[in-house]
Amino acid sequence: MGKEAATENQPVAALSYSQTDTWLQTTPRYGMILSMNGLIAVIISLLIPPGFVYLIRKLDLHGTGKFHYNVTAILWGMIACLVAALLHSRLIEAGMSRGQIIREVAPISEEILKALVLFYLVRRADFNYVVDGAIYGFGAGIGFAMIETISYVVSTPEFAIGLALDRVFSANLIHATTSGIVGSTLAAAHFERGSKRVLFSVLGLTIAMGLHMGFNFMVTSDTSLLLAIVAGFVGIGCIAIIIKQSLNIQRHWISEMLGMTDRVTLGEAAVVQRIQNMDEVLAPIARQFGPDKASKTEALIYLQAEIGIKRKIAKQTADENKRAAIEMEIQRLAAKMNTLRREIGPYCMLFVRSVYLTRTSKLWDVLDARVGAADTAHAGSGLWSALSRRIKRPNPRRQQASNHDLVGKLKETFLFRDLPEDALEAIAQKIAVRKLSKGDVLMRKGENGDSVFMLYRGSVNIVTTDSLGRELVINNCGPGETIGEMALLDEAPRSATAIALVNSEALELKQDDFHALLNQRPDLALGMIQGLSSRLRFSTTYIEKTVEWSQKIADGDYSIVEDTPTIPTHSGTDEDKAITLLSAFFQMVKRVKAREDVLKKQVEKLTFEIDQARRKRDFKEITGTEFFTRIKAQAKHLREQRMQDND
Amino acid sequence: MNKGKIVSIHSFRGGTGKSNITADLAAQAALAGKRVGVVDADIQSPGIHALFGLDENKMGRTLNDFLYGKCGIREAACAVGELGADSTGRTKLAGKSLWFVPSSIRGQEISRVLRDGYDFNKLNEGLQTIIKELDLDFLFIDTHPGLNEETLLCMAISDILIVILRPDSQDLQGTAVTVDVARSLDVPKLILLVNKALPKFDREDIKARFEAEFQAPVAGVMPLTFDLAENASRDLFSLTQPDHEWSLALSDLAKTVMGME
Repeated sequence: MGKEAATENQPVAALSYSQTDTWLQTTPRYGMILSMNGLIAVIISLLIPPGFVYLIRKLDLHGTGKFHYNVTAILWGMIACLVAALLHSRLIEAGMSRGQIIREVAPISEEILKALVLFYLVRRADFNYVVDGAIYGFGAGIGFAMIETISYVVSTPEFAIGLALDRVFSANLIHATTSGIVGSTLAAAHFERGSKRVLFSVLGLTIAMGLHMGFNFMVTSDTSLLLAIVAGFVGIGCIAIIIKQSLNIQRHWISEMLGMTDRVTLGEAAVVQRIQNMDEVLAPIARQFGPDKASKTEALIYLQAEIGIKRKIAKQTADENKRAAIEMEIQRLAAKMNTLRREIGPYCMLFVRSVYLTRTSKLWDVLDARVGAADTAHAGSGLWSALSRRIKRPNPRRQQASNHDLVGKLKETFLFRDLPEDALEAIAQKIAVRKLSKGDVLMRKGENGDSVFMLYRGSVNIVTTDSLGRELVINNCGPGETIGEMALLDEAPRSATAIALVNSEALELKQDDFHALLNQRPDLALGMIQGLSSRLRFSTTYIEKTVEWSQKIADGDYSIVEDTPTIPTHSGTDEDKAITLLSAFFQMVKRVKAREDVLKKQVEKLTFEIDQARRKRDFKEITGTEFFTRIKAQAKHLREQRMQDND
Repeated sequence: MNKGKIVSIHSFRGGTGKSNITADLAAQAALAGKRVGVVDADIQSPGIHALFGLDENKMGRTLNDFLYGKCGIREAACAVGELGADSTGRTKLAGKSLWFVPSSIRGQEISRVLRDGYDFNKLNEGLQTIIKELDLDFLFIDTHPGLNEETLLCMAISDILIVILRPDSQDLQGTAVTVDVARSLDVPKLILLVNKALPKFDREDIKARFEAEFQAPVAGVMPLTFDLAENASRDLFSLTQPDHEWSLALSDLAKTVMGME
């Protein structure tokens, strides 16, 4: 392993690499660590190299590398160094020369040993791409070199500091570079198939071994120290270039894969694309929504980048088991993303999405045109542009008389809970509280709706009637949910009836007041859109379920109807809710099926009756003839004859 | 006695699928390695020849020729296995020991039978002769529906009588009489076969109740199938679609018949 050694009679500054290596023959003097020089040298050897890892990690814009794998790689590098030392001392005992080991054996054995941890890491489902491979490889090389440097330092206490310094900037970086190359090629190979895969891996290892060998030749041939250090920095530059290139590839992947499958909107994807300008995104968020939301937004953006990269990787992975593992990982990340998004809240999310949606996107223009054409918003054309401008500026504070009780209640409604206090106070002034006893009708289908309700307490069934006048529960609302908001946007009559299932309490807001509020606070409209879109999502789930179940019923599979509860609940996911509501309808289907089964059983038994009198009469008619008597006798005779023949 | 069994296939009314069942039954027995003969004794309305791939041009001597003394019965027997395969199903019969004695399909010859009748003893003698000459294991007779005189003769000389009926009241009434008559003629083995049962019916129920009513075994309840109708008597259905529900039921029937002592 020892590549270079200090000749004891040379001054530190002129220290050069020479072949007169004394390291393996010299007994390590661990006591030197206690001296000032020794201590400084060890500190240099241990602190600066991880700094390089930190720098390289900073290059990983998408933040896909995992810190604990960095640590794993470094620790393995250290172990690899000890194993290499053991191996090489055995070879020396076996009679191999030191020069041979340094120039021929070490480049091969050390590269392979360092790479072992990389072989393991690239196979993991949470491993991403070349960037990860390069960084982990870099770490493994650094770990290796740290131990190697210390072993040199304790063996040559006289030049401890100088030796530590020059190794840290030369041999250390070369070790990190070669392993970084191995890591990135192994990562790239992992996404190839068959012979290409082997070729990539072998090529990476060969390049690493070649570079290592070249460096060892150089330093054992009276090269100046400066050249070795230059080589080290060229190495780290190479790794940086590899990482930059892979980041570009990943950026394309992210834009390609971050689609609606993960419910990442165009706006969010655009933000992720600008990940290198993260501060630009985060600064206004921190200003408007506080540092907590900003840091969560940052985490969200990194998460989305990783999901995009993972999707692409999953797509490129041929092995099914491995792909399944990656899909699982994506699901885990997606769940994490949704949690983060909820924590960030709709208003801040809308802000994030709009950061890069200004003039480049047509969304606001489209909304402007639509709203203007429909002429349903009192604010008229330009509302949406005004909206997008408004939410980018801090809102002017308005002091309003407050109704604390109502503000508290409004904070529990999905429609208004994310609004700032002053907005809630403004709304509270317009709110009327409606107390409902069980069975009370909150609104009736067909009525002209001029208000929106927010359920504060209890439970309300949204009911419609079929052509025979029978009630069909289409939804159930619990505390916090909004009822009748459609009436605020269109002028059409109520589309359904709302009946209190238990004693309930609702907050009522009149249409006129709502529109007046919208003029003052356009950001409320964004909350409305959010609420409507979640209702739309529920409708989509509902329709999906209906189609799925109808298909099953058509195939004669009634099992779905068997166990589903009929009593509506407002807990659980959209899907649970849809199932509960649909089950009422499919219970009807089940009853139809039961009735049909009974009918079927009736036809299955054949009814027949034989007229026994006629049967006797017909029989006598046939058998009573002379012909019949003759033929019977003849047949009897014939049979007897055949019996004899056969005997 | 195992050799030369006469198996008559009969139904009280037409359209029960009698010809199809007779031909397929004979084909199955031949496939199982038996030496098999088939006689189309439905002289008034012959039909089974089509299933064996015979038409007016291919038909040589017929049962009519034999009955009127124009040839020996052996000359009227056509070796189906040597006919040269012209369809998917019949290809499978190549080289099998299966002979078929057709009835003439010429209008003139049919009307002669109807007008003059024929000598029943001659028919009887012919059947006995062909069994001996061709060393048959089984001779299947496709009879004319109803209970006319030549049918009664065929029944009388049968070792096994298969009565086919559809699950409808007219067939049931006629079958009841047929069964009574067959018993009176001392037919040794009597089997009922229900064909064209609508899928909606409970077949086990039909089998149980018919067996109770007629005091005779029901060898199978075969389904009404469009697939068979589509076949339109062009080919032997149990050979073209051996895995079809109907074919499987027929194959069971063939096994029952062959296993009978």
